[in-house]
Parts: sequence; C-alpha cells; structure tokens
Amino acid sequence: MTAGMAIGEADPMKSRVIVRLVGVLVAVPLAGCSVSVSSWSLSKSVRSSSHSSDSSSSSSPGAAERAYREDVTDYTRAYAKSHRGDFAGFQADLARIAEEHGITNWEENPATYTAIGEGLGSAEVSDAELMAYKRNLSGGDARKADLIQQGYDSAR
Amino acid sequence: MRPILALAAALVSQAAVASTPPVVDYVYIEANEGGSSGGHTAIRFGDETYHFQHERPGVLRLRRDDWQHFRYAYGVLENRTMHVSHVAVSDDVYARLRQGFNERYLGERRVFAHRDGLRDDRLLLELLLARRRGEPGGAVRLRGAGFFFPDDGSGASVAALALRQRVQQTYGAEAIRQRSDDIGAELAHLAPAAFASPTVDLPTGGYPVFTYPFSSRYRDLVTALIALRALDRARPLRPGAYRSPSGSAFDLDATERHQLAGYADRLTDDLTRLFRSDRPDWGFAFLVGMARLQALRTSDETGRWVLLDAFPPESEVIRVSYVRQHRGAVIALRTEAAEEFAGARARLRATEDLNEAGFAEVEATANRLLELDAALAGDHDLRVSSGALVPSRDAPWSELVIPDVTQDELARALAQTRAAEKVFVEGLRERYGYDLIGRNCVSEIFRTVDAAGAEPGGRVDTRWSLDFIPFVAADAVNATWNVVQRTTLPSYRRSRLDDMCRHESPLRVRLRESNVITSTIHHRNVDDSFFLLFTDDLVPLRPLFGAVNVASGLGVAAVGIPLLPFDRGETLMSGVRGALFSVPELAFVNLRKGSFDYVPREQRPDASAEVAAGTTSFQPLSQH
Repeated sequence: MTAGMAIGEADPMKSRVIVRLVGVLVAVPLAGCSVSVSSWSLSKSVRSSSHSSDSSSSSSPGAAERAYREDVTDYTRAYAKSHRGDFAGFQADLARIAEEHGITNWEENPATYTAIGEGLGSAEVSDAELMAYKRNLSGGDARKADLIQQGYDSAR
Repeated sequence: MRPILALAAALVSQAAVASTPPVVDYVYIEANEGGSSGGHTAIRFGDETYHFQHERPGVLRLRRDDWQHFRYAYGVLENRTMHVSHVAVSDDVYARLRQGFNERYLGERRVFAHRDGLRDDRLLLELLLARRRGEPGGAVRLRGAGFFFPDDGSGASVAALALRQRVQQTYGAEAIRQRSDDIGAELAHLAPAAFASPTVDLPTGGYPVFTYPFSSRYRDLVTALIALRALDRARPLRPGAYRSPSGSAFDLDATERHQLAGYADRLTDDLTRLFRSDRPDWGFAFLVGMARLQALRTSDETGRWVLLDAFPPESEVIRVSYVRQHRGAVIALRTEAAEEFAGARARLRATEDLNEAGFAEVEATANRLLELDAALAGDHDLRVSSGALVPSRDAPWSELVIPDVTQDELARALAQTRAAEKVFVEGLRERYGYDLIGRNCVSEIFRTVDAAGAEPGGRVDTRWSLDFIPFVAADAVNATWNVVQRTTLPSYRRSRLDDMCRHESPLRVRLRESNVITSTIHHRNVDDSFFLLFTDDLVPLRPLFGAVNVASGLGVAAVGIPLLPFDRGETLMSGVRGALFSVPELAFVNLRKGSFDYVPREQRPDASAEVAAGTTSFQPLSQH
C-alpha cells in the first residue's frame, strides 16, 4: 500500500504541475476542503471520529486515557496562561472537554488531577496560583491535591 | 541466548530512536468530486491528525481525527491518494507545534460553544420575560432530565431508594430537602444584572475567555433541582430511556456480573460525593450516574445487559430510505459494530477496577450496535454521532422558577443578549468564514504553525503566492520544510489495482477495472455523479475517456428530464454533475475517483502500521 520516494528522485507531480494548475483553477471554485462522500456519515454509526476518545478506535492500549489527559493538560495550560481566578468557568470548560471523552464525573477520575497539575506546571504558574487551583478543585480531598502536585512537579 | 540477543537488539533499536528527531507529517490529499475538488491538506502528529474543514454555513473549522479514522474516510471511502511529507523536527518544535494545534482546536470549540451559549441565554430570557408578563407555556429542554421525567407516576426504583438512603445516612435525613431549598433560593434571586455582560469580541490570542453566563447558571441550578427531585422521589428510568435487548448475545457472564456489581457499588460512592460537589454542573452528572446505577442494578438482577440510550438529543440522523439504499453497507457495519461491542466487553472483563470510561465504552458500542439493528429492521432512522456517546436524554421543563427581578430588568437583559449574539455571530462569520484563497485548509495550517512560533524548516507564506492551492502548497513544504522522506499512500482503488496486477494479467485487470460496469473493485455508489470510465490511473487516455464521460453524463441528464416528476431530479443532477466533473479530464486533469459506501476491515490499509511509521524517527537525508 505504501510507496516510498527518497529526496532527490524525479517527481512526476512537478512535471504536470502547470497542466494541473490550469485544470484545478477551473475546477476549484466549485468548492474545497470539505468531505464529499455522503455515505461517510454511515461509518460514524460504528466509531467515534473524535480524538481517540473511543479506545477501540485507538492505535494502542490506554490511548483513550492518554488522549483525555493530553486534552486536560493542554486546556489547563492554555487557560492558566490566559485567565486567572474564575474556577466556575474553568470547571465548566473542563466538564465540556471530559464529556468529549465520554466522562461525565471528571471529579472521580484521578487522571483529571494529574493532567491539571501538568498543565499548571507547563504554564509555569506561581506557587500561589497552584495553591488556589489545589484548594478549589480538590474539595478538601488530600489525594486529589497530591495528584495535582505530582502532575505539576513532573512538568517543571 | 535468544532472549539476550532480542534484549540487546531492542536496546540498540531504542537507542537509535532516542537519538533521532521526531517526525511531523504534512499530508496532501488529492481531489475528488464535490466539496473536495480543490484537494485537501492535514498535519499529523503520531495518531492525531488536524485538518481544517469547510462546513455549513460557510465556515472553516479545525477538526481532529485519529489517523486510522482519517485514512479510512479520505483514502478509502473517498478513494483519494495521499502524499505524505515526513518532516524531521526537534523535540521542542514537535511539542510546540502539537500544542499549538491542540490549543487552537480546544479554543475554537470553546468559541463556538459561546455562540451556542448566547443563543441559549436569549431563548431563556425570552421565556422568563414571557412568564413574567403572565404568558403561560414554553419550556426549556434540559439534558439528563429525560431519563426520569416527565413523571408518569410509576413506582419507586429499588436502586434509587438505596442511593437515597445512602445519601441520607451520610449527610442527614434532611440533606436532600436542604439542598433543594438552597438551590431554589439561589434561583429565585438569580438576576441577569449580577452577571458580567456577555462577551461580544472574539479573542485575538490565547485560550478564549468568556464569562459563565446567566443562562448556564440558571440551567445548572434547575438541572440540580431535577436531580434532587429524582433522588427524593426515587424515580425509576422512563420507558424508552434505556435498552434491554433480547437474545443470548446480551447475556452477562459471571465475570461481567461481578464487574458490574462492583462498579455499581463504586458508582454509589461517587454519587454520594457528587451530591455535595462544588462543580456548577453537578446535577447533570448526577442524573446520568443515577440512571446508569439503575441500569447496572437491573443488569445484575436479570443477568442481561440493560443500557441507557446513549445517543445525544442532537445526534445526526440518516434517513431510513438512505439506509435501504445502502443496506449492504449497513449490514457490514452491523457486523463491525458487533465486533466492537465484543472487544469492549472483553476489555471490561479484563480490567481490574472498572471506571466510568471503561463502562462507557461498552455502553457506547452496544448503543451503536442496537441502533444499526433497529435501522435494519426498518423501525426508524439511523442515529449516528461522530463524538463520544454520552447519555444525555433531555426533556422539556416548564416548571420554571422566575427570578425575583422586574420585567424591565429582564427586558434589558434580553435586549443586551440579542445585541451581543448578533455582533458575536457576525464576528464569527468574519473570523471563521471560508475563503477560497485567503482562508482555506492550507492557509490555516501555515498560520497555526506560525502562531506556534516553531518552524519545521523555512516559512511558507500563502499570501503572495499560489501556495494556497493544496498541491502547490505540498511542493512548497517539500522545498521549504525539513522533509526527510516522502511517501505516497495510494487511493483504495489504485491500491487494489496494483495488488491485482501482481496476481493477474495487468492488461486484463486494466480493461476490466477501467469502467464502472465490469469493475470488481468499485460498485456504483449512488452518492457519486454519473460516469462510466475511471481516469485517475490512465493519464494518456484521460481526454478520450473524459469525452466519453462528458457525453454519457449529458445523456443521463437528458434522460433525467422526463424523470423529474418521479425522482425529484436525482437522475438529472447526477448526469449534470457527471458531465461537469468530467470536463477537467479533457485537459488531462482528474478530479473524480469514484467513492465507496463501505470497505470491509480486512481490505483497508493497515493504518496502525502507518501510525507507527508516523511516530518513527527518520534521519535527515538532505537539507533543501
């Protein structure tokens, strides 16, 4: 299925570029960048197209959890860099992201806290901000606060 | 001796990988007819593929798919050849690029969620204002409420009674009433003016910051009240809110029963803690958890799978008439869905501590299977969802608490929200609108790369060149970025052709497979425009074949005219489109490849091997 081509070999694509350019410029105004197969919708009846949120569609075991963790980390980092202090807003967006991975009760998923800590660590938040996140998200549960700290430490 | 050698080989191999840089893949996908006549592009990090897709109503949205899924959609179903440029980058550049794309993806989703939030705000304020004016009627739809309401007066659920008892034992006999009173009081005093004005400006950089709006708070509080009412009344699941399939395929074995019973116990603990959660939207999670708990307990009692209906209310729907047209594909998909369900059950049996994600996988795969069964039985349209399936059955709720604010205050808030929504939607159209040259699937990839501040080589600028065209951009990437290897992934049909030519007479294969009538690879897909001859693999004969396709397309269009009253113009349009997409073939340009409605799993490319290739590091061969 795969045909490799090393750098420096003659590229048949280039030799036809002018002819193709003319043709494509004629055709391109019709539309571009979208999916054209209607029956493509049918395949959604079997699998999720979201980012490995369905572990059966992922390429390796544990990919679904890794994907969830990465999203929470990336989200936390981006949020912490842009915004401070609105924990209701933070939790509302976190809930939305968790749902995209099939998780409604994110508070009971340990990966959530580790990932939040990693995001805070890579955003290089201050100790005071870290404490605020730990206080507001752990709900007094020392185990959750520890997980945030562990994630934070691992990212620093 | 052999294990020692294997260990040594593994260590050497790991050392080699560790010393070489990671690879980002730039993917150019050849054109096909319809909305993809200009080609497409994507960027891939391991099994994550990011691409900008032109969608209704004329917006360009960043999408993220796992590589296997992307490959199947574009390379197999759409039958399009992909050209992959492997770009060697440093660890730092790789991380910054991936983060750049993912943060943009998450941020963009947040922006569109804010648009929906403004709409919800407006609808809620219109309803509250009408109620304040004394106009009855109207309701808000609340996710999760549909599992238990409307109350049909049926008897209490044993599982819900046990949960209620547990909550009362933990927090006191009056805990449910107290929490309901607190929420009711907050709702009564909820004033739109106490919330920050709706954000109307689109953020220019970083993660978008929006206020937690009045409507979200109102909905969250009402949903929490509904959850408390369901708990207090120990409401059972409503008929239709769950699935209790018949047949031995849905019998639980001993391990599954044990797992489900254990998970139900843990879920009871989780829900008891959730009852006191500070998260603003705890009510929805509680409703879903309580509904699942009942399904789990019933499964344990009956020894059979009982599962919530997990399709979200806004699911995409495929009409049953379309299912009938593609019955063969749907039957094959059903077989696949059954395998997915079996795989999820096997993982559930093997897991040590079943959690929500593990259970949700079985729930989702079973739902997809049962949905296909129902569609095949002709019962109803087929619901599909490209996202994770989260049970969220909604219900209209008319028992609204009208906040203690004046009619004028509600009217002012409504006017403000209407204005904000209008400005925001206009801004959204401007910012995310598709533009053939200035904002398409190519330009946004390079903009995102630029914004990440990490160049995988030189800079590609689409503003003052033809680099906005996908195949030209692919050449620019090859010339500018640090491309260390290029790979062509042939379209499904071409791949099968190559394979057949290795085992049969190439001439015979070419003749047989050159047209839609005798082809054994491609069976006419009713979604394609009308054409007779394939032209993507025969360049010298392309104008000749194109002329045949144009003529046959026009002929079918002519036949379609008298058929107009009977087929609603389908034949006419198929012929016209067929002729139109054949015109470029006269100038040696191929757009249409023919598409597939389904391809069996064993005939699909091994995308997992390609993922492995994508994550394998390559040594740079040369600098450009």
